[in-house]
Amino acid sequence: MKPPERRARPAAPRWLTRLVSPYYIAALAVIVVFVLWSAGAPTSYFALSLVFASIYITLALAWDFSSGLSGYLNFGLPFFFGLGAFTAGYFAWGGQRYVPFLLFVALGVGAVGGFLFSFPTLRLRGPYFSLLSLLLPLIAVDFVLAFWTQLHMPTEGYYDLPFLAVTPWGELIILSVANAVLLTVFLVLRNSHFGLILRGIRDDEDALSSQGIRTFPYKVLAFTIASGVAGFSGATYALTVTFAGLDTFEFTFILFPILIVILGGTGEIVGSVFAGYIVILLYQYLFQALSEVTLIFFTGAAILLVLFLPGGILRPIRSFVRFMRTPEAP
Amino acid sequence: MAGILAPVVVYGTLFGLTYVLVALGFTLLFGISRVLNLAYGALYMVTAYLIYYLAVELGVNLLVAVVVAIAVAIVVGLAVFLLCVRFAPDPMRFLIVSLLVALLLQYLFEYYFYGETGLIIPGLLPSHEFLFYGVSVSPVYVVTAGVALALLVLLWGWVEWTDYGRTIRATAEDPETAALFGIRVRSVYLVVVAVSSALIALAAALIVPAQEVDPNMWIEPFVIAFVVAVIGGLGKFKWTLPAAFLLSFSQYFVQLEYPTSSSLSDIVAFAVAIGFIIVLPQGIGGIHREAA
Repeated sequence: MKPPERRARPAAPRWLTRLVSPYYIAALAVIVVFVLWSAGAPTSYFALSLVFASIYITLALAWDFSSGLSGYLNFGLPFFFGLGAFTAGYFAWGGQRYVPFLLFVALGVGAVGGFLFSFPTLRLRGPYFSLLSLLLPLIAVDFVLAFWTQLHMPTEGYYDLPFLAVTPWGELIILSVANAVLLTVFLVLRNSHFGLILRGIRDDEDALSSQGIRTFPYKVLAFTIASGVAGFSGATYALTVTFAGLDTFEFTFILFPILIVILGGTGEIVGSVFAGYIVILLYQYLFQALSEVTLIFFTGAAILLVLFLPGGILRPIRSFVRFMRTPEAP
Repeated sequence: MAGILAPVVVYGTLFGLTYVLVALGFTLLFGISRVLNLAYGALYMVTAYLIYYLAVELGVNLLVAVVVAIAVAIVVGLAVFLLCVRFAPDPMRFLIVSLLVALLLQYLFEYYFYGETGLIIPGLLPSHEFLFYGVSVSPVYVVTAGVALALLVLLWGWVEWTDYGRTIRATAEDPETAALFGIRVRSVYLVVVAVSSALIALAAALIVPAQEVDPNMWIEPFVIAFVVAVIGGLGKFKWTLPAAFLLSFSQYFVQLEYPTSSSLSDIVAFAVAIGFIIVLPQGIGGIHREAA
């Protein structure tokens, strides 16, 4: 006798079933927990540290989505970060002090900058893109130093910018919402056809080309999106410290994203959220005790991580969970 | 006419040859091992700081300090290379590790010297300038240019005309086949890394007395080495000289046009590199091959 056929439930859309995983829910939960945790002390050092953690998480998400997935390393992240900060400063100094407008313009300028840079450099395979992107922040510093008077800057940067929110806790809420949205969007994109091609580029770009897939537009699109997000992140930073200066082009804004992405697992997207809070909170509290030496420790730790634990923390956890789930052999 | 042209020719040539010295090691290393070492500029910084520390703070004889600094730079270069080859063999991770090493050294020196900039080290050469066709020239650059030219010729001879040079070229062409013919590929790489590190360290020992020592100084030589490599065609060792001249003359012309602006030379270098990547991605060496 045939077993009665089970009626299939109406299927959820594919992007949704792929998106909702325990890791994704845990990441959202972590973001919410930190917001609630610091609610009691909206102006504390803890809340401020969380604000910086959130800014670095935004940067790390952008870097992981573009460079982590495609394997084309963008060392010019501080350039797009600073570009966003200076854009926000420029418009705020010009009289446009409406914060959402500043964030939006920074996003747009970052994306345009990313497009203009990646269009010529990504036509070529290999290291040209990475190396030229490394030069970008250096050029930007020289440019500002040479032309700051022509750019109508009050000094070598813009000061007295409007605050992102009244208290650090308010800023944390804005940044946490932004991170949750970005996490969702990047995960959906990662699991889509677009993300599949990006991962294919990392694994074997020649194989993709031989299938008749033009990889160039996908690469440019990924880096345009990531640069826009970096610009947005730069604007949030400038509005948090109310100053857009040359320090936004510093290499720490690529060092920490790289550290976070590798600790979270390259190309995993979700891992950046967990690793971001771990790295930046640890840094903020160690910095109180050890001051300048902390940066040396973290750079050294990053080197050791790339050399000895390139898979990060999430990958071992994943394989452990998979191991526990597999039924025992008879 | 000669009055305007003389400084252009003199400075363009001297700086061009200095650029050759800075870029030689980078191009040699990339041409043979296909490894892009972002810590290359950091070796320049290590040498400069060590000479400063030994000669100025400890009072060691200057020549001894220079020799020790160059030796340490070679050891650091080899250590980074060995660590990467052993634990991070893919090029992507090598790029990240070498960048992180450069940053680590920068932060270390910043911390140790309290972020002090503008440290001056005494030169091996007299620093008083002399007149040459109405242009005042520093002996530092003249000697550097001479050393650069000599080293270029020597290295070319070494790679093109000696037995070991043939081994090196075979390894560059195809490491696996070279290994089949009994070449110890690993040792060839190590020799090339050591030579490349020695070259940039020597460049530092010669040039830095005319500049100042500061924690960001690894960037400048890296920019020059990379842009010269792009203009000549990445890894095309023979084209270093014309590429360096092209860069130095274009920088000097821009400086003539905008003498007041402080630091345009990096922007010019970047623009030239982007221009070459759009129009001639294979560099000057690429035209030659197409014509042949």
